[in-house]
Amino acid sequence: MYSFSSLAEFATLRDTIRKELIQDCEEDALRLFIAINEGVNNAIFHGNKKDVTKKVQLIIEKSPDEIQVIIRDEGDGFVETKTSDAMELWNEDGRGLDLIGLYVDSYWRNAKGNEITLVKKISPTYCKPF
Amino acid sequence: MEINTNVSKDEVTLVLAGSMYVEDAAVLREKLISFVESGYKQFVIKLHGVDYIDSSGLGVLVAIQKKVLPKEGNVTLVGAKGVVKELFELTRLNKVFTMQP
Repeated sequence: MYSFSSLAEFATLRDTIRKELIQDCEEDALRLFIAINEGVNNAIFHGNKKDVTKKVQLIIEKSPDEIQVIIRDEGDGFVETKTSDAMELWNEDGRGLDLIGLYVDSYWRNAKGNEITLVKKISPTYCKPF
Repeated sequence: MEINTNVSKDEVTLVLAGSMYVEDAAVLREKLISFVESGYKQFVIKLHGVDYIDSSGLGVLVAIQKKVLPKEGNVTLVGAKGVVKELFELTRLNKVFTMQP
């Protein structure tokens, strides 16, 4: 489990997390990392609202065929609005949840809105080159 | 992330390398905005050396394109590859920018 309270702290952990994700398929590990990075940024900026007295927890659990990631902040919970199925091309922000949806097999939020769970299949048959 | 800048009479070329995270996107935004405010409207951004870009980086590039298009300017992205190229395609931002190999 990783725990951090600011973007600067998370920045020191990014390379370690990227490496931890790599198993058989580097490409899919990077795709999962994209989703994790977006989820953590949301937790720091929208969940904890950059309050460095609040922590973000990042839990990565591996099973033989999937990786489950839990990102939990200490904020009051927020509802991120998904832009649209078609994605608003000219929006300057708001793509985080879209990228999460593109790069994991499933994700859900808890009822309070301060925790998101991401699931990514890691079977080699899912491995897709760029 | 490394950002190297080459300015000619009417075009700004940025050569980026490394991973573009949210803090890098903020630096890039400031740099690009200052050029736009100085009157530049043609931007070439070379992405050959970029191995990662997050949604904040995509947002910065969209913001600059929105500023320069009404002035008959343009942002051209060159050399996107791997997951970076895939991101532009999946988000359909390859339709917002001129993309060159």
